[in-house]
Amino acid sequence: MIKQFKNNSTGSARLSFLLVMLMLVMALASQYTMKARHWNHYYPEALVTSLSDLALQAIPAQIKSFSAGVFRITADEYMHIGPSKKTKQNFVAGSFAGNTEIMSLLELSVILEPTNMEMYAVMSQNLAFHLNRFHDAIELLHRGILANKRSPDLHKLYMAGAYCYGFIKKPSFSSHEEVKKNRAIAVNYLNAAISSYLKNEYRLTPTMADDFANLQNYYVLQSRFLSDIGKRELALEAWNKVTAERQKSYLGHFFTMVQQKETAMPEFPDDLLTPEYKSLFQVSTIRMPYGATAPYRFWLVDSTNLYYLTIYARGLGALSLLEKDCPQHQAALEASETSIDGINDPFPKLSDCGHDHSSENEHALHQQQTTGADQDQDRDHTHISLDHVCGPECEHERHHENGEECQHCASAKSWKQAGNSVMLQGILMLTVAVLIRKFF
Amino acid sequence: MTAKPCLLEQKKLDMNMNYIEARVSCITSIAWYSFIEALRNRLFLGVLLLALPFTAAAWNIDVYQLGFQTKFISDAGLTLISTLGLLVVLFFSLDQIIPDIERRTIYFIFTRVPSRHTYMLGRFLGIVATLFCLHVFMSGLLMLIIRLRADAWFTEIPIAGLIIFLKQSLLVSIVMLLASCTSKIITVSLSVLIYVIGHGLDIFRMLAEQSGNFVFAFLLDLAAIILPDFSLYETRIMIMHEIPAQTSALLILAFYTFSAIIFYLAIGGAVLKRRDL
Repeated sequence: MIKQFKNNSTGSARLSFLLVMLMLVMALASQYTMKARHWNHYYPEALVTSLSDLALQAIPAQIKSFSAGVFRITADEYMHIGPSKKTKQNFVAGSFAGNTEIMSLLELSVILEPTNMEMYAVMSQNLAFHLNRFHDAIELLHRGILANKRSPDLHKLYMAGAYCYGFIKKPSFSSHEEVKKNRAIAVNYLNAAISSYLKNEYRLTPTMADDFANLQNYYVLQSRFLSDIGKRELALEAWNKVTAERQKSYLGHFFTMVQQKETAMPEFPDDLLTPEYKSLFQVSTIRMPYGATAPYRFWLVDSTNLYYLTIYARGLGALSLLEKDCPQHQAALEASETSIDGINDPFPKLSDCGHDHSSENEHALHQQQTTGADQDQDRDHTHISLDHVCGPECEHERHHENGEECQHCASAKSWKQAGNSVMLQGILMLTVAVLIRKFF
Repeated sequence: MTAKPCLLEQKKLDMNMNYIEARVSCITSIAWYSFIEALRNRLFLGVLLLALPFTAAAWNIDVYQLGFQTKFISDAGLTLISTLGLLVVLFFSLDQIIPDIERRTIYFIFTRVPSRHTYMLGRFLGIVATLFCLHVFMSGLLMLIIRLRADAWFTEIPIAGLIIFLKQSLLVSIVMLLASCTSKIITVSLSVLIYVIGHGLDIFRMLAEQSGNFVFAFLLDLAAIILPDFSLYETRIMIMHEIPAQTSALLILAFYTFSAIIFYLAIGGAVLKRRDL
């Protein structure tokens, strides 16, 4: 009786389980059939033009977003690593410019998550300005615009289009007719960006604020491009919308000249900036947002390379960039006593290479490592002369072997340290294995 | 008076030698047939064929015709090798002990095998041989593709292949240990769990130390003695920065892998020995 009851209950449990599974399958099937037939109601912003697009819609958004994030992080890592040493690649570490390795990853990221605005801007600028694929860049932006028609951030994509058209040809290198033609198109994009911004202004949250893609910058660019294409009245009108603080600039000087109807007016405002271009460079204040990575990650490589890897782990890019492309660094190394380029303390805290030049008699590596770090750590570091060339055999390199005690070098634990613990663990395991084999 | 003990010692030595020879022969036979069995398995062919769509995808995603991207291809290639190796480990290691027990063929094997440890070691070596073939083939292919397209030898790739092979051999021993005492589903679940924990153990330890939770850090340190540390087998930095691995570090890694494998197989053998089949 009990057995029969058990059999019956097992049978009914199986049946109900199968029924639930069947219903679940039917629910999913009907849901996706509905979505496929009436996609414009479910995915009003999704571009469904082919079967693969439709298949992509069937993947849960969280999974797509996660994968896209992984691709973006990998692309960022590639950007920091830079070109391959063995093959000729025409880009540098620490910059997206001209980096061909990242493009496939970013493309995948955009396919999986078409709503990520930042990627369109990075990709389009890379394609247009560094990879000689201007039309691909514009096509990509159009794709982005179509996929984000209702997004409050849509103005950023129009802005990216305006930027591409506006600066692909420059008065210094191209014919003025060509520049004017492109900037006329750029004005259209800017108009679209401004109207999109104003239309969605109430939806913009503080987190969406962008240092570059904002209304004030749009007016500045609009006035400049309008002036370039000869519509100076409209340019002045746009310029008047720019805040008084922002008007104090070379462009402001140009428009003052326009208002005063100067006779010796340059055709482009760019012409006023020519002497300034030479001395202009940007100051980076980017600090790494993450802490030291796990020490074992580096244990397989030679300690010779720890010097480079520490720099990489600190998110400061390639050594070549830090040492060669930093004019301050070079100048400081050549003449420590004189001020750099005749400027007295131009950047007291951080320079463009991301490290502190204020105490120039410190070792080059330690300088950039100690920026922003606890100053107490400096006491552990040896101060050496400027003409010294650093190598793994140096005395002061030994502090890397302090491992976890030294915050600067926590990410660069040497193979000897990691190797010791690994060897100990190995010996312990082997001993236990022999004991098990003997007694069990 | 002295001749007899010598003769006895000689006989004892001969017996020992015969015993070792028989044991090695048993291990080799089991390993060989496990290897052949794995190669004949259609699943293995399927796993290898999986590489084709992935390879095709590498060309397809070059939307902007930017050419061959060395780092991307080597990174993706090694990820693929690692993933396929993992599939081989999970599918084929499970097919070694549990089906033998379920089909009762293990009794026939035990009639010819001196101990259950020998059986386990033989099965383990069979899977390791399969893995080795897979890694040699895939790493060689990847290096050749990069040589043809980028005109440079990337010797880091076979080294990375070797490191991945060592890592997966260690995982095979863990799967064998689990398969000797649990069912299929539990073996798969625990193997994946150990694999994930093994990769993140040093990060968890670091986080525990940073947060000042010394009890948790101590517990994690204890766990780190027993559990494998898969983060030691990190090849990404080496490949991405094109930095050759040190021979001494590789030797230490090989020693660690060997010790850990022997440790897990010894436990597995002991468990299987005491198990009522």
